[in-house]
Amino acid sequence: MKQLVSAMVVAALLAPAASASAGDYFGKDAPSDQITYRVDNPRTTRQRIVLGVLFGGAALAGGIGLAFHLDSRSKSDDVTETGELSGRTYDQAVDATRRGALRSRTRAIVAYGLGGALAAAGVVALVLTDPGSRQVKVGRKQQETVPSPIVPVSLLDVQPVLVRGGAGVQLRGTWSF
Amino acid sequence: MVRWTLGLALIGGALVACTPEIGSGTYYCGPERLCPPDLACDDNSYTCIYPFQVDPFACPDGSEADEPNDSTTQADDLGALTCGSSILDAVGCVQGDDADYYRMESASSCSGNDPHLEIKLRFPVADVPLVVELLDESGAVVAAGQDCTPRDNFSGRTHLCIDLTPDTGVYFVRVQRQADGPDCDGACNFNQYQLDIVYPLS
Repeated sequence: MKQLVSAMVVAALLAPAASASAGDYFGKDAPSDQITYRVDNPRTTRQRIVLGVLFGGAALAGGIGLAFHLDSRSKSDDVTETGELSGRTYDQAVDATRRGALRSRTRAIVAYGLGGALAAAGVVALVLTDPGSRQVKVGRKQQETVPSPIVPVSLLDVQPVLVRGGAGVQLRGTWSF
Repeated sequence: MVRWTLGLALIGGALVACTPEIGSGTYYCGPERLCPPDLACDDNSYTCIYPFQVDPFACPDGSEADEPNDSTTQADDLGALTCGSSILDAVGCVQGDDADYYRMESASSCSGNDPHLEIKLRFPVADVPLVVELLDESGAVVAAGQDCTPRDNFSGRTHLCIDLTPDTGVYFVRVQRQADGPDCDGACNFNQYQLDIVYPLS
């Protein structure tokens, strides 16, 4: 999988008071700060599979629960009578529908419960397997030192682009992994 | 946490809404007093009501005024069939092996497009099923009631009908419990009924 992300850092970061006191940012007043940003570390394949199973299972269980829920609702509506004498006879068909509604209701509860448990487990797993992020620095000085000892080139390819604008400068970073 | 609580509350509320709600007195009892678990069948109104409201079965008022009419010799005499008129519109009651007999006489044929005898028996589904039969003077069965319950039946009762053109002679109508009919293992071996006999000309 390859992702391409484009980040834009506005010149205001480099010159917060540009309108008040304009300076020569490419001359002697050029800031020496480096531009830094953070990149999420990738999860391992196994972690992704676990998370996929948990959240996928939660979605599946939720869908099954919803199906039983709707079935229960429909059957309940079919037999529910309140108030005056309806004229209907409580025969075996009505009784079977009522039992079916309760059965589907129980199944919906079980499925929702399972789905909720899986979703909760997924959230916990999401937190526990958080790989964190790393800081990437780019800038005039940083370019000279060529950083990224952490990130293999095959995983993360950062290409910063500095573009001079009217009131400042834009830094565009492009990276893919 | 608040979102989880709200979500669970919503799901719980929706599931509660999926519980069938059957109020007291909204349904007629099914065969053999069938009712929802929290309700009981009242044999007198043959409706499903709260158990504490149920009264023991009692024959409707006036339904046993013609007793004893348990044989052809004791039959309630309805007289001669009158062309184009109602012969009987009565409420009856059968308990156990009781049988009710009604006697009538067809003296002459009637004129009209389609003069015929219509016998209709209606009784609650809740208690033991009944049968209605037309007997000739010797006691032989001429016709037996057939199920003619309307498709959209909102009476809680089964309908049985006999429809024929009688010859001249004496006839008996007999109402009794169905021999092998379900009777709650003997606990609902009774029933009330309404019997209508008419003789329309068309």
